Amino acid sequence: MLVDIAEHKLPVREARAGDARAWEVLLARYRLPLYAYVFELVHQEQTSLDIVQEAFINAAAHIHSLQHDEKFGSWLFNIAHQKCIQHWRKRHVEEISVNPQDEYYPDDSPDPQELLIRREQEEAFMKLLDQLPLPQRSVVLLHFIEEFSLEDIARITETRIGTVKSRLHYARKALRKLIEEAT
Amino acid sequence: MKTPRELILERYRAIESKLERIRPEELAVQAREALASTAHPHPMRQEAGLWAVAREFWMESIRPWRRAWIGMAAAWIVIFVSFAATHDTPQAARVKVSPPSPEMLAALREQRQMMLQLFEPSASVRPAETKIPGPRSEQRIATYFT
Repeated sequence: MLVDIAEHKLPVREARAGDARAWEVLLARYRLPLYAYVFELVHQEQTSLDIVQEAFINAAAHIHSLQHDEKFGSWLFNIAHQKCIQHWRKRHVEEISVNPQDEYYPDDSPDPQELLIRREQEEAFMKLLDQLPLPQRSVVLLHFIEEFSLEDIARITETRIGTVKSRLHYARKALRKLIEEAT
Repeated sequence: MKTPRELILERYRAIESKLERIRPEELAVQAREALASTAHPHPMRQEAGLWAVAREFWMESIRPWRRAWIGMAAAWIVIFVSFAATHDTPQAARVKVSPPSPEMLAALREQRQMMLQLFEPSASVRPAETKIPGPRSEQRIATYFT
């Protein structure tokens, strides 16, 4: 079951000390969103399960180097994101790269709750999400699933904030268009 | 009506049982071992700072414009290759110079002689002697007797 706990209440300090109960809480909080993010990028169940497991093992092995406990979520997603990139490299999938439209970024402050999807739009929404180019999909998922800030998304995907803004803008525009067309 | 988050997570609820194979106890052991190893710092850790700077430089300055960097590198390679192909080194140029033929040597000798004749002062041609006038008293005597 997904446990919704605010970032500042997460027992990151206890997890760093090696407390199994703290890790149980962190697992309950992040394993499903992390799996959803990874699966939407790699589209393979077993690979996604492996990536999530490896991300948690890496996090446990390096949690002592995490300086800001409240950034545990974005840090964990960054580990998983790197593992996805390694997976694409193995499969020679074109890596996430800056495309020309990334250079333009309008200054709108996005709200993840702004888009509300009706039951009849659900399938179309997920289909459109799959159709988005990898860079946009990655940013949109991080924005929707975890409501990460632009700075956090930039850190996870290792891109500039301007690039994140641009990708989010174009992806949201495409999704909004879909919802408007369906109504 | 659902938010995108609810919709996305709901799609993967069924996988939760498979995700439960990640054992918190194992993660706790990993974290404890990592914490213990930090008590005895490894020399590699000192390199982490430098590595982080290099990584940041790569991510911020090189990676976003890697196509431009590759293009510039390719342009420079083309310039160097074309320069090397069209310009001989002085040593190579020296090797290439062939000794002058006897005809050319004879022509050069003849040309040199002509130049000498033209510019060197000839023995037959002497500058006109200038008459230096004598004292005025002598001039006066000369005019008296003529």
